[in-house]
Amino acid sequence: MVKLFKAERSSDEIIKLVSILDKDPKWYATSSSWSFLEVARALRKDRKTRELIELDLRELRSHKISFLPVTDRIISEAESLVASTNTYAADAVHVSTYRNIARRLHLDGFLCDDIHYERFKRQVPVKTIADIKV
Amino acid sequence: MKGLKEPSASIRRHHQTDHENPSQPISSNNLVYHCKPISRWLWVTEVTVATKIGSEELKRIDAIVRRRGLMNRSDLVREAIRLYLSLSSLETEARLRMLRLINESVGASGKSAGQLIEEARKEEDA
Repeated sequence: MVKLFKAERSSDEIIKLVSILDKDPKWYATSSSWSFLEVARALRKDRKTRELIELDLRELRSHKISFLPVTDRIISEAESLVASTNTYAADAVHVSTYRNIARRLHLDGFLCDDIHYERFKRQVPVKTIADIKV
Repeated sequence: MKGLKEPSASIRRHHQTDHENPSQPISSNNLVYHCKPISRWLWVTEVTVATKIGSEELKRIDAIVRRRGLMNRSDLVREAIRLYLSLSSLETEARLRMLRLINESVGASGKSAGQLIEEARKEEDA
């Protein structure tokens, strides 16, 4: 999601994807509400001002993306994942969130960037933006 | 929108419609609207916004007013509101592209989104 606010490779495609999500009812996206903290921290590390970070987060909330709460169940599953594999806490929260809702919401894949592809590919059906035709 | 905060005092919408009771304030979150009739036939004529601004923000506002040759602080606030409304009214794709442009012009670490997220995760781990 940070790619939305950075002019870099695949940023245009991510913008197009969010635009399609807003327009086309057939598309649906979901994420963990933990993402807001991650995006805020990443933008802070990118030396953005408080006002701009708040504006960016407000923008994120305005799209047809459901941000799901980090429930006790998700935390519990994330704990098991962290204990049994070499996974960062934040990564574990995202993987557990996906596993909790994938079947119920008929999700097609877990979208992430190239850097994180290798880390997740054995745990969830990973897709990069290149796999999605927008 | 640097220097601008959510209005903490009140907004007065000076307008009159057949459906509204002018004496009845309409509250929405922390904003309060007071309707005051100006003309029976005018829908919206004027908006007065009151907001708290810190001394540091006030200095920045005054510096921008001088630098951009604006008439006064109100002129700057009016421009800021128009700019924000223009940005907010754009379609998703255009708005996101504009916002990305603004983000690119305010600070930059030279790191990619993936690198920034990765660093933030390592930080938590540490």
